[in-house]
Amino acid sequence: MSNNNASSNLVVAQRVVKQLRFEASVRRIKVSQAAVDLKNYCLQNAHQDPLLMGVPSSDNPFRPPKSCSLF
Amino acid sequence: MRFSINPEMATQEVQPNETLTNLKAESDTLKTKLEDERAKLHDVELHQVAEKVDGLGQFIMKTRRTLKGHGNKVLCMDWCKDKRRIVSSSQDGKVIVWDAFTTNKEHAVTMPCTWVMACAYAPSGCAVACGGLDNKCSVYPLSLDKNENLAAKKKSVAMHTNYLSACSFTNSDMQILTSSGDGTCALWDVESGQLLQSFHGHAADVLCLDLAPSETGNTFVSGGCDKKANVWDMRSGQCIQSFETHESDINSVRYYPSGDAFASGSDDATCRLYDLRADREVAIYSKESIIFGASSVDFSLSGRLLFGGYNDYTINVWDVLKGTRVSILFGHENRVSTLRLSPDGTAFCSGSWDHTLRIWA
Repeated sequence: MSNNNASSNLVVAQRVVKQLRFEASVRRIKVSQAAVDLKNYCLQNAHQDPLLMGVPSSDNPFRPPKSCSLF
Repeated sequence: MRFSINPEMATQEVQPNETLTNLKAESDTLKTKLEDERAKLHDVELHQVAEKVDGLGQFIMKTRRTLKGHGNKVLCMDWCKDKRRIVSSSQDGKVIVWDAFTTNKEHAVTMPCTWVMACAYAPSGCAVACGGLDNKCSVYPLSLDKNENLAAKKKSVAMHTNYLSACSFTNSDMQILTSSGDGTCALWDVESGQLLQSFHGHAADVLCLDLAPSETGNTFVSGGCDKKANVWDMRSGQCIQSFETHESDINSVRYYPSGDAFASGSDDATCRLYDLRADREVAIYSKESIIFGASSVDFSLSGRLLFGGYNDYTINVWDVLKGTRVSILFGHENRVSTLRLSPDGTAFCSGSWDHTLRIWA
């Protein structure tokens, strides 16, 4: 019984170490570079973002068009 | 492949005679090394880089449609690619397909279980998938004949050993990705129901998942009750990156539109942004006044806005770059449980425990 526990603990520990080695090997870039890329993506795509820019009612199917009311 | 690794280090095999103590010691060393490596590259904050960017003006977003018809808490929703249809699921076991323009219900199915926590629209628009306490994910083809009993054509695809928390079709109707309370995620073939790949690594229930935008390759991110967000390679099943900075369950994860980052919403009342190439958290969206958990998050089309649905019934809108809140949206009368941007970015839909869904624009 205790042998089983010991060997399964070992297997788990081996798996954890293997995974950590993998994660430690990932090549990373500096936050400054990553941040600039995120910022540039936002700015380059801003004009195509309807919720950011606001879209004329005629183009937004959910906004009620300004129409004349008939009484 | 978006990320790159140092091949020598990654494939080092664990020697069989390494004892438990050695392995534990090595595991601690590696964890410290990971933190150090990440910290070394942390040379600036995102909001500092964004200082010169113009601030956002006043936002006027209102409820434009209210979808009423569920008899209990709305738990999940998804948009159809046609930008007008929506599928939603509820605690009372009902799954409803709506036309969001007209607010008409087009289809309704009653599931054999309550708490249908997950639902998704197929890319073709011809089927929906859903599941919850039944531990399964089932696919219902949508019929043009409104009188046809949808339940008759139901196909059981995924089988987990605990509740289904989230599901998503991949880029076709043929495969579904699921996450479960059993701590795993899995990829299934819809036609045969065969398990194609399973993803092990979370230490507790997995609550959410999101697929990377198709241009960036075969990865997805998942978040769980173990406070971790994991990024996975869909083909190999390997966890390629893991982030553990939240202080409580991660309820929602969503990729940034470029695929280079993802946001998360958590019971710790914060939303966070993680950059995949820098391999670390790069922003936290929080305020002292926000003390209730964030249940669901999504970005606007350009990635500049982050919408978060919270358990205090509100939706907070964040400026992703500057880290500030730009708007609070009131309207729901109970927890916001689910939130998604429409496919063309002109609106977003929120679902709530108040039994309704709202379209905001």
